[in-house]
Amino acid sequence: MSTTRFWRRLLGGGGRSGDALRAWAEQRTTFVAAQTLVRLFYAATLFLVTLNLRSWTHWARYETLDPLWPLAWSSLTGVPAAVHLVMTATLATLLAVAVAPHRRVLRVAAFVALLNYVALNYSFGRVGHGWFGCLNISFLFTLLPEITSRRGAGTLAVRQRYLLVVWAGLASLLLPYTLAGFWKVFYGAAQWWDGETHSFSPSAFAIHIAAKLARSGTTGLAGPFLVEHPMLAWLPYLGVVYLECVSIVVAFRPELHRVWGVALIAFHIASFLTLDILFSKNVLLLVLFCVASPFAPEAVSWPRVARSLPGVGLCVRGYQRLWSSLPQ
Amino acid sequence: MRTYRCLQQALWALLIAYVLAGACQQLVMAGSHRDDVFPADSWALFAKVPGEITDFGVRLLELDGQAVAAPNVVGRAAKAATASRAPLETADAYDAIQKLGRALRNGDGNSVARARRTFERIYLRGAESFRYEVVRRTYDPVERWQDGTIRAAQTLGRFDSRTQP
Repeated sequence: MSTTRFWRRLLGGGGRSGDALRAWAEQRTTFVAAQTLVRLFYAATLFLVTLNLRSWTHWARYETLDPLWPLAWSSLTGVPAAVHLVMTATLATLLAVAVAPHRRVLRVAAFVALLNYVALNYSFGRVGHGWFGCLNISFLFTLLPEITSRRGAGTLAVRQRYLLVVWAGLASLLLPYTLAGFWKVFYGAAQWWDGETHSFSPSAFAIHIAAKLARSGTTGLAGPFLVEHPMLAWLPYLGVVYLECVSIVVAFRPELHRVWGVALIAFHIASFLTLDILFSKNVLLLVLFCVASPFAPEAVSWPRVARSLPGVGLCVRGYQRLWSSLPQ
Repeated sequence: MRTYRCLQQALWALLIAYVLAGACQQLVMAGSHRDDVFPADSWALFAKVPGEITDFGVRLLELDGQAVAAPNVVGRAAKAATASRAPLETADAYDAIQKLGRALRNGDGNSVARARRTFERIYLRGAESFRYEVVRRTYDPVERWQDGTIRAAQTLGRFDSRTQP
């Protein structure tokens, strides 16, 4: 078996490559949905920036920042001028690209402005994570091909490239979850080896809640209760580790896009209720890219979804093989 | 088709670069210089279960000429001081204090001056005068949550508004 075929079978979920290719077979319909998604992405990012518009006034009052490298130029203009420039450019370019997302020059301008805007957000001593989804996707969308056809359909090759980049946007949204899961398993194994409390311990999540409270003085509604009753959070926490670890695999399985979107949104709501950590920007992106995924089939049966879950199909096939090899 | 293949390869290269940059930041740079590799990130969130935490806090001693009522409340002082001054989450102030603490621990004068400037001009902005100390503290998170116990606290430096960084 060739390497490419091996990876395709592993990520795509065994022998159902037809599912993964369905979106390409229905390319024209998927392409129209993908174009709408790109426009909605820029509109949603603009909306998120306007939600944070009050910061404009506050930021412009500062004389000093702890600027990240994209804002190194702010030392030449001074903080207030840099803030006005970044805010104006971000709003103007996002508005323009939401109107004409097929223009690459606008998509590049929106990415550069957004890079500066996100750097501004994180130039107060702390680099957060909330804006990374928007930033990564807006970077990938600069690679979208120009749509020159009047009807916006383009050629088959252009449509294929367009869909690949939109799919990469979805994958870039899911990749950080996998990385977060990977490090939990990595350090969990290391701490287990050292005889310390680790990610798989019944008390792991309760300790995280207590540590978050100690650091920031805030915790979610259910946080104190779970510190008192750590066993209640054990299995859900292990479920979250699984959910995170296999997220990138889900990008290759369109039948799981919607289910995974809903599951990750539920995870973000639970994080807020327990740790007081809110990833509202990611929730919006998950709705757009996973719940409303242009690659997801219209209807999928629950047994199909269950069989497609990473690891489950492998176990079922192994069990079937074992069963059939036994003497009857 | 050739353009498609090139694009596919470029996307794989980007993915690998992103993962490697994050892993490098986490394993080689020990997760302490996130701003150097922005916007790459390891995404090692809540990865280690903290048994005993050693971090840095600010003990605010005086604000606008008034002695702070309970200066021994290590860490929470940052929240009290910033609540009405900076339109930012408390986690932002926490991270700024960690930078200052790490710089003091490492004895890096330039980094101390830079971190002080950031902390004082952003989080103590508008105060006519202030005096505070940076403390390294060690605690068990559950124990601290239950009864506020801090196992050890050591003052690393003391600063006031008269000595500019």
